[in-house]
Amino acid sequence: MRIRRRTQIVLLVLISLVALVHSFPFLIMIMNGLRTNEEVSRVLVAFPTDPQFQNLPRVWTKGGYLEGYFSSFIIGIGTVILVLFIITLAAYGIVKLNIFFRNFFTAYFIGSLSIPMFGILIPLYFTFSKLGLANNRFGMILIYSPIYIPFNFLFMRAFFIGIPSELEDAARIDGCSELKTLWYVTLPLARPIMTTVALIVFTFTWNEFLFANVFLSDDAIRTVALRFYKFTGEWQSDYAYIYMASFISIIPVLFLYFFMQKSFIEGMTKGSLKT
Amino acid sequence: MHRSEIKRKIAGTLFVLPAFLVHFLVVTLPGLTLFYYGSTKWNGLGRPEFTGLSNFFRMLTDNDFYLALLNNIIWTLFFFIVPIAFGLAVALAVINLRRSQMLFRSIFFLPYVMSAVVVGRIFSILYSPYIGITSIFKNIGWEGLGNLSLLTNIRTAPLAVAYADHWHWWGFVMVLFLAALHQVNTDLYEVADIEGANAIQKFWYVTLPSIVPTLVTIYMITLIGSFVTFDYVYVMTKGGPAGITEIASTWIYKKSFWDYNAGYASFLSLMICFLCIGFYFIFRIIQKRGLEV
Repeated sequence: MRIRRRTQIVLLVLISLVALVHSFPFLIMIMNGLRTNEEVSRVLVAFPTDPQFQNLPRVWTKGGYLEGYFSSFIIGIGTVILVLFIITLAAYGIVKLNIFFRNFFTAYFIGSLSIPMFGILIPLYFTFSKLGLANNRFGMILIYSPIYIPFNFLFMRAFFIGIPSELEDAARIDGCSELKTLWYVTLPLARPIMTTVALIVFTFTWNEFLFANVFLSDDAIRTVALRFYKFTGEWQSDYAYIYMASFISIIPVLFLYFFMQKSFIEGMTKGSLKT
Repeated sequence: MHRSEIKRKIAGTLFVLPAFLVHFLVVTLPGLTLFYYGSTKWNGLGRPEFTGLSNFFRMLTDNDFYLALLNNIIWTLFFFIVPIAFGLAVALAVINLRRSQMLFRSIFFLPYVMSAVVVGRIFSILYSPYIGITSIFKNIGWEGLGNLSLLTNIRTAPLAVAYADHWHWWGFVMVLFLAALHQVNTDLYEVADIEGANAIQKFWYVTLPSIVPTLVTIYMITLIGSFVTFDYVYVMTKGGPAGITEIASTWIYKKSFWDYNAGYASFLSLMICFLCIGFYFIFRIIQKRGLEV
């Protein structure tokens, strides 16, 4: 739609206003995290004229964020590696190799997109408790991975279908095994898509609350989201601290978002089938 | 088939097996056990005691569960209207901007990557009568509004929680619409201009038909998501005050982990699974039909 210059300026002003109101909670989090608790309790909005940078190390220590970061990174990176590893193998197998039950596998992954994870929380928890996998970081990786398998498998499959088989055939004629062909020929082409999958999976595991809260009761291995939740309960009326804790809890995700926005937004909107 | 071919086929199948097994063992198998646990009386720790359909009859008279489900429906309606209308309106405006389009896209999308617990907590503070948004009214002398506690007031609590989720969600919807709007054939607008169509006619006859598939997808995600949503309610109100924000997921959670009614909670989980799976397949059929038309 082509529109006049004047309308465009009016739109720009309107959208800027919406953006300002929309950013308000985010800006307040950044600014109030740098004020003192007393100040924040007195006035809701104010620029931190005397920024309290010591809030950061204080909240970091009080909230046990070092252990939280450690746990969240292990679970996040572990899940990313496991998901990438198994969906790449599966997609390669289905698209490029001769296998048994090809149609069954594809139908299974399409159908399994419909299962809501919340529904299986209870049996999964009691089964994992019996197996000693509750309260265990590896157990969390095992829970988070399948949430992202069906969709990303289909995503990867569509991508592999687009890669001409001649490339892989050439490698095979040169004497490469199937795994070698996958590693040296197909994977380098899939790098952008793998980055996107990694970003989405990592962000999800970093933010996930429900399953982590049910499964991880041992304080030493609790993730950032859980520590934040506990911290806000213990320091209820120290509002500046809560704002700072909010900020600390989202730093890695913010960092990834600012530097890799494009793959983030495109990946997440393409992945919108996921529920 | 030759032996060597069978061998190759087995090797190929081994590529797919890890993904299948992890998913089957962690998601599908526990999902199937719901049929068993759902027909037992079980506290989650001891041996489940088989009781047949008793959980089904219990559900029939469980008014609290229906109230929770009713809240899910209200929640669905809110998300069917507010974020979609808002997201579409902003997308229609943003698409007309040139250089600033990407900047606004990033700003509006940002909350979507933030943790629900963090967003929920920030909004809890903003809703507090002592230091939140309403405290501004106190400063200008409106005591009534100033003392309003948005999250503990029965009238405002559901809307307050839904708004926090909306804040986190609508930017995502907006970006989906924006992507769809970029796909609209611009020739059609020129034709419409020549025919003398006004802005509303252009939206109705050109824009809307092109974004219908996106709209259907968003309605599907919203519908299914609304019946399993959990984080915002749990973090902000835990279903209170007086159960006014209780939804199916928080109710099932409490039944299982607070009241040790894992058998009954499993049955209710099974019902939620049926509901979501049903919605999913209905929407897939709609999507397929829509493509043929």
